[in-house]
Amino acid sequence: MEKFENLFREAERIRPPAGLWETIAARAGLATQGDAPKPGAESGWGWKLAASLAVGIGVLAALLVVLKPAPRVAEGAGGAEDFAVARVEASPLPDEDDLYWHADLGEESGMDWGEDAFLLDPVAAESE
Amino acid sequence: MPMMEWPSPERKNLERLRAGDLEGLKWIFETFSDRLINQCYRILLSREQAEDVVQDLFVRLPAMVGEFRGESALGTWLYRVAHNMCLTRLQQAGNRRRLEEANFAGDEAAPRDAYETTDLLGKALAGLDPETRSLLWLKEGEGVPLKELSGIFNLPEGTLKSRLSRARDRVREFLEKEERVGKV
Repeated sequence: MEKFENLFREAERIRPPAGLWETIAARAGLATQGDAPKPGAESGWGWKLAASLAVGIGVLAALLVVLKPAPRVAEGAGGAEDFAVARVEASPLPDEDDLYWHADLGEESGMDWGEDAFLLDPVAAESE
Repeated sequence: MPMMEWPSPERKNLERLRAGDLEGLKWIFETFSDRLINQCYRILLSREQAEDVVQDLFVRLPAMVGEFRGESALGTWLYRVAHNMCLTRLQQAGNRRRLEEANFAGDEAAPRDAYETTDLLGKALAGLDPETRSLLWLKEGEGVPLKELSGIFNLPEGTLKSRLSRARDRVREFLEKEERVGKV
């Protein structure tokens, strides 16, 4: 029993090698309380404020896009429907004389009015 | 299980470490590195590998400290972490065969020149599996109480007592053999 106990009592005990702590400190990536914040390190409220501002600007930009009035024709419209509306709105009202001139010649009008407000029934128009 | 009441410096420096303060890590290193490196040395039977594991442990400790729930003493938890890291290292080094074949039976003990065993204890431990080496060293070399060992190895105290008893018998057999050949 004594030999067994002596075995552990007399056992070699090694020590951490010199420089081990410095290696650990360099690799662990921590800072001491007195150190200045490392570049790029999170600094708490500063980052939170920047993040809040970014979110706020993003929300504001989104609202502006949604609430932006429909663009004027001169500025150029987007979709086909918008273009069609712009084309009709941009077309000048035909001169009445031009309409009747086409009718006399039996030629169809170059403008496709379809059944719209310009081909008013003269009787109905008078009665309004 | 209620959180243990830690000694004040341990709690203070653990909180510093959690806050990312290097001084907290330094205190833990200065307090526990000796014991941890010797534990690793006795498991791995290699000074160089023990130094590697301890370095790894402390570099990773800031990230791991969140896993420590405070249900045991910090030292107990660190012993457990070191123990697991050593076993992982052995497995990764392909020493699983040694875990299965390590059979302390006289001449058929694990080849001693495979390790840096310079003292008699190292030679005695070389014939045991790494888990038993760790257990025996912590109990006999560091005086860790059985209750704490139960937390480190996650085994009932009764099981640990049996293992310790068998391990002691084997070491004594080794010593007797060494004495017979005049080496002790």
